[in-house]
Amino acid sequence: MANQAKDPQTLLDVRDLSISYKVYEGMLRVLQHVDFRVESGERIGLVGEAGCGKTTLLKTIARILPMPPARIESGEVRFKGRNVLDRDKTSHRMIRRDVSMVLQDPTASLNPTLTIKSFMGDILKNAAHPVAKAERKQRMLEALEKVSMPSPERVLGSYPVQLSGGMRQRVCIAMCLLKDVDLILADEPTTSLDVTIEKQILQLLNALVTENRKSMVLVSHALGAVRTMTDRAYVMYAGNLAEKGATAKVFECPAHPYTIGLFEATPKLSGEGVSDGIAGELPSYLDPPPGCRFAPRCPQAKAICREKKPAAADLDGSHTVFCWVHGGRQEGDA
Amino acid sequence: MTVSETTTPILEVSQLRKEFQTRQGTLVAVAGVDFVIDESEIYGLVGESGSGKSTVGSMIVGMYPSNGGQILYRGQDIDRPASKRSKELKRQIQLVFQDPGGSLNPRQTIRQILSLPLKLHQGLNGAALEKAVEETIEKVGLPMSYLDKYPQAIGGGEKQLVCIGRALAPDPSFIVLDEPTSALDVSIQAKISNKLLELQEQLGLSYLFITHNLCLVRNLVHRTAIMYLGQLCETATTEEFFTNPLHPYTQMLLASIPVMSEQEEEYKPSEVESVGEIPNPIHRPDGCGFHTRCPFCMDVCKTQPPTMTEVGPGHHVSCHLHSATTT
Repeated sequence: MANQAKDPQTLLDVRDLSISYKVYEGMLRVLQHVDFRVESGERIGLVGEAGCGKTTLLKTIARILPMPPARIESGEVRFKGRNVLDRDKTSHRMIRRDVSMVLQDPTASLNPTLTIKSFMGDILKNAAHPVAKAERKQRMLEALEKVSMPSPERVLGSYPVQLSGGMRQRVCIAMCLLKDVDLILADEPTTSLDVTIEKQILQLLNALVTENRKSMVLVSHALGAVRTMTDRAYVMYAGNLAEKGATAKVFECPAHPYTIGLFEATPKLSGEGVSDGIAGELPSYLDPPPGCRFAPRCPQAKAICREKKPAAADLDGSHTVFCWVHGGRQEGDA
Repeated sequence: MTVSETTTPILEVSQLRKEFQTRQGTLVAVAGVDFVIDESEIYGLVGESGSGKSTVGSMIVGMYPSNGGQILYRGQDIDRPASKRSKELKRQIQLVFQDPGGSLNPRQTIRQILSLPLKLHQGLNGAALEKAVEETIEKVGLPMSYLDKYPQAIGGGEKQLVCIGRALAPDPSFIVLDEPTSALDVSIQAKISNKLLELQEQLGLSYLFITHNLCLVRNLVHRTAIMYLGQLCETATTEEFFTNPLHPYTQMLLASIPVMSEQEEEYKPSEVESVGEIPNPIHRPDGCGFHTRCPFCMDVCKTQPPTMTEVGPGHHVSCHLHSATTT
């Protein structure tokens, strides 16, 4: 692939990524020609409902996607200019050191038989610049303090089961800090937590990312969190990008019918009632609709939507929508 | 519907208490809860995990008896396990669970699932049963063709509609909805909650709507109660509750909600920061359960539990800041 005009600021550049899963029934065509970019220091929001391929995308970036059953059909994932899908040792190590993932369920991401100290110690021992044994404890305590952990000394000697869900998620974030990563992939970090704890964790994550000029990809069901915490947002539906743009633009004037439906279906605090949601369900990945994958549920679908993949339509410089309603005019469908 | 219009509320819960014995000690899941649900009312019970809201719901449907207090259903004491309740009572109080996948038998078709309550409670069979099953699935807005499908062949939202249909089949008057939409996606959640609202209006049902989603409460519920560590903090009509939240915990909850637009930000009280975590209910703090996290904590809060005080019409708060009796 020609890699013209590489922007030095671009930390992560995913191009034309298509991923399928091989299952008994056939091939699940999940991601399709997805382009995704994270500039250095940027906070990106990734919005979409369950099963739309958000986690597949993040796992591919972090190189923890189990292959098989997953298979990369096309595309590349460039991290600091290097394609991490080339399975060489250098890129592998780079991803392990510079990218960290905060998962949805902190219980499942911490080994129940080890203490917090041993997780954190392992990270320091195996860092790019290993930390001397005498210094390690100090570093661990500092990291725990940064995530506002109550009584960090006690936590170090604890097992994950002895901590609450919120505290476990704080440990996971502290581990990202120890590694001093460049990119944090936060995959629904607060979905399993309560509202008041969610607020604390999101605030913490946001403060750490902004202060240390890290980049972050935040996947969240809480649309409000994406609105307040990110600079740019991507909306995904059924493995395709529906819309991307500056977060404020996407939330103020959503353009894709799916985004509009999703936002309208979210119950509001102002209490003007709930819309009827979006009719229908996610299409099967075994045999996805040939045109726009949202066409079967779309209230504005036209003939062309069912036949051809929608082309990108630029609404203005920083807001792009993948929809024929906005961009298919050259096809003469009026 | 079956009973003529009366002034007795459909459900009256007073001083309800539930303890569980655990290896670490006694866990007080529900520590004295009072509320009243009127006929044809949607009552929202809101709380975070571990607040005891589901335990209250379980006691109402009779999954287990309480350790004190009273549950009156249309004036009649029903505080006993379902096995000791009359069939008529069991018909009138139904339940919808959070996880629709887990509450439908995977080896039964939708038709079989919907038939059982009709057979048991209405004594239907043959053609009459057939007809009633079809009416039930129509009521929840699913196509007839779904009757011969198995649960795994339909989507999560549709499964929940089947669960709602199953609860409606015996023609109940009161339904406990235990987080009916929290396992579903937003676009599906909207559909289910509108369906629930529509059915409530059509059939004059009463709901106890248990949830942690305040935005949903805002749009669906007539009266709201907030629960924290097994006790109620604040009860009010939904309108009053969102415009004039008084308990510090309510304010913290409201301030924590991530919202979709700037207009909505205005509905949030801004002065309360979220701090701390819910204490372990086995080691409840003395005095007010919330004092460990409360930004307005006073000395009295640490020793004396507050009592419910009426601060406005239908608006009750359990907080020393708003009680007239304490010094």
